[in-house]
Amino acid sequence: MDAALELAGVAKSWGEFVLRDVSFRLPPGYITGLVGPNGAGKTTLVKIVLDLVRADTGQVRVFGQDHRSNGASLRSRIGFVHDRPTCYEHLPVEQLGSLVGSFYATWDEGAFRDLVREFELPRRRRVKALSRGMKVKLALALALSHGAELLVLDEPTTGLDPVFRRELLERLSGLISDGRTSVLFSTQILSDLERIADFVVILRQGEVQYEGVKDDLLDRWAVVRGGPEVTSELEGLPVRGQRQTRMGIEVLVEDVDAARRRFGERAVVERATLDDVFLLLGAERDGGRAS
Amino acid sequence: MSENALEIRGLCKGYPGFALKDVSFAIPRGYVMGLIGPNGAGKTTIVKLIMNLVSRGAGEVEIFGLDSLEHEAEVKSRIGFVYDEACFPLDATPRDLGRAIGPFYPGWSNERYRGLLGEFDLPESGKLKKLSHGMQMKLALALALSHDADLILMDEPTAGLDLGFRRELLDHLSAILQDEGKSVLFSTHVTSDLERIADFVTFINDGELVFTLPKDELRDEWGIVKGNGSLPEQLAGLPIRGVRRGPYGVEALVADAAAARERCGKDVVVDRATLDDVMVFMTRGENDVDAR
Amino acid sequence: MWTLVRKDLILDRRQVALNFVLYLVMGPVFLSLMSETPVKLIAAWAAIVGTMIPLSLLAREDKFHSARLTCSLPVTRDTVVASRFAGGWILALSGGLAIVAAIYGAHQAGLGNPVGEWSQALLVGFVTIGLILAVLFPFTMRFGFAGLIGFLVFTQVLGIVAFLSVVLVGGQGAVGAAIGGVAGALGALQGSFGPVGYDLFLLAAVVALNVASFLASRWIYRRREF
Repeated sequence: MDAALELAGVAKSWGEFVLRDVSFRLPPGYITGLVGPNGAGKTTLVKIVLDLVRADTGQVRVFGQDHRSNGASLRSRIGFVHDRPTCYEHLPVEQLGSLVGSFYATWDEGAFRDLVREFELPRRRRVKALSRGMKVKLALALALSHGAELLVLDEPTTGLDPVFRRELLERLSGLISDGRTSVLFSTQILSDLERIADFVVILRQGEVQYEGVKDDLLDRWAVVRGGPEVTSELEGLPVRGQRQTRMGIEVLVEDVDAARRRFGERAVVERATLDDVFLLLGAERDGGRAS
Repeated sequence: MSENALEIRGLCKGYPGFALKDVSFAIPRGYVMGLIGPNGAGKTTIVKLIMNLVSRGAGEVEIFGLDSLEHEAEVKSRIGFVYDEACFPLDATPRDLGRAIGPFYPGWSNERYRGLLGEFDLPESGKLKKLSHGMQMKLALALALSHDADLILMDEPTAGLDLGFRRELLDHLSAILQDEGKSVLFSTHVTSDLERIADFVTFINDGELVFTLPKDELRDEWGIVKGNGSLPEQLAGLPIRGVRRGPYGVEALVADAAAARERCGKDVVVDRATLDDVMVFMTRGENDVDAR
Repeated sequence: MWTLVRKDLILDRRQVALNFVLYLVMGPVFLSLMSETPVKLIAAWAAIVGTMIPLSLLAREDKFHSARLTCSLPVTRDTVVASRFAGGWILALSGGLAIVAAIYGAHQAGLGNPVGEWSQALLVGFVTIGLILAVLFPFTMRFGFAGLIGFLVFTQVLGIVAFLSVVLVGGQGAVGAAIGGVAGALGALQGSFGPVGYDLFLLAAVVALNVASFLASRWIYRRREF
């Protein structure tokens, strides 16, 4: 089955900022987390996928088709969820259905109303008066009501409290259970991805640094923490990055068992969290980045 | 000399539609307290009450043993603050802010300020309006950390900051705390940050204190027990803090995971509870867990 | 308190400078538009414009929410009020004086034809500033810039109402009588105090009004929430 989204060799140069050779694939029916520092290019990438911005080179395929060849109908299958101000902020929630719905042939007003009720959104309140979390839920309701099969979420959980976040995450997990919907989820709160992502793409300095199954990372990768002597004992281990911190050295190793065998009690060896992978991957001890 | 950097007793404040009721907790000197709670729970109100930005309904706030109202100026000269919303004129530059604000604090060090600006990658002469939200937050932090404050008060300081910077900030805070016995009150939604540096955690919900506990206790003694429908019965008598039922089974947050393991043995899975779990279970879970 | 005044001047200096430049230009323009301008009118006008400088800074405070910053610094609310008062007077006085000086300079350079005693004008300017600041201060302490606008709108509305009442109801007599009454009372006072006494009386009244305004503002600001 076609990937929900596939990028190949996408590059874009925009003033100081550059995306170079970005390639990754969103397996259909799963949740893929997109991670990267601010300024790495995540938002630009999202805009390219939505055809708001044109890439300099490279191919973008959505549901197996070039994303510009059949733009309008493809876009109706994509839902973009974010909380930035939009042009209909002055409208009350319940009127949004007719407004947004008029853009989509596949709009289901009944589904929208149901979702508004399920998400407990105040129907008469104007969009600009909604809290941040409610705006995100509203965007999600809109996306789902026009039958979006690919949901692109841009930092949906930033600023949301943990309870709300958990709700949103549980909903997203529920969504993909039908196998029809795919989710691309860009965020800085990696514990959220640990909870629901199936795949992870790490973007840094305009390039994809890692693309793979989330559980692989969490099960097999490890962080070794100890004093400076650690660096002399890394021979033969699959090291993926290391960093000097105020408290010592941290080393990212792709094989937790091997690391444990090598260090035993002499250093702290723990399974890597996504935070660790994100911070350490490609890092060099002096703070530079492997390019 | 008081042992507590901050002590709050019976704090109350009423608003139309919301009330902070009888909140009490204390931060011993040299420790970090995380303040968690859903949006609208009252965390920002607590910070505003400490800084006297809003008036108290009732209760006492003591900072380094001094009442925060009677000794307002003295107490505030030792507090570094970072708020969740910007409060600086946007056509000012970081240098302007340093010059304008530094003189208020006896402990102000211009070298430290400029050093922090450099470390945080902030241009001394750029106008604030050109900085992203994250960078403005970093500036607020630089200011708060430049006058040797004994108590650092932060309300959602890391919202919108990327992970790399968040980690740097936490490392920086840890370093300050280790060397110098400073104390921190840190309100945030990014609980993974708290798991890293908090010594104590205070949970506020709906204007009330749910608990104030050492983080280690939460991490080591609390747990999520996962089982089937008979779980509440099995756990009767144990300190259950919330129960959630779902298509997958029943999960219960217990304050004594060891006892739960002993009681239920192999029938159940017991996992460590994260701060997120604690919040979710205690706000959305059922608390009335008589076996049905 | 002076640390606060200094802070405000540092952070607001661009706006203050802009205002000064603008008003200094407006001054000679104003002068050149009228022939035989009474010096007292010039002073009153300069005073009004001078007070706009500190009042315009309020808009910035509302926009940037900087009151939250100010009240988080190691100062009490009372100190903040004192610094606003001091700062407001300093800016208004220097603004007004600068405009008067610009106009005077323009006149020396041959522009315009002001008539009257400059020393009397200074008194008029001072009293005008004093009245405006005393009345507006408590409003702005409570409501910020929005309060200022509200107050100005209110006085406009009052003026419109008075005007309409005169036109519709023919209450010309009543409004005229009210204005005449105030003018008459002031004239009577002038008569009884003599010119110097009258001047001193005005000064004392302005000072008293400002003290009352200051105390009221302190009371208000202590209770303000941010």
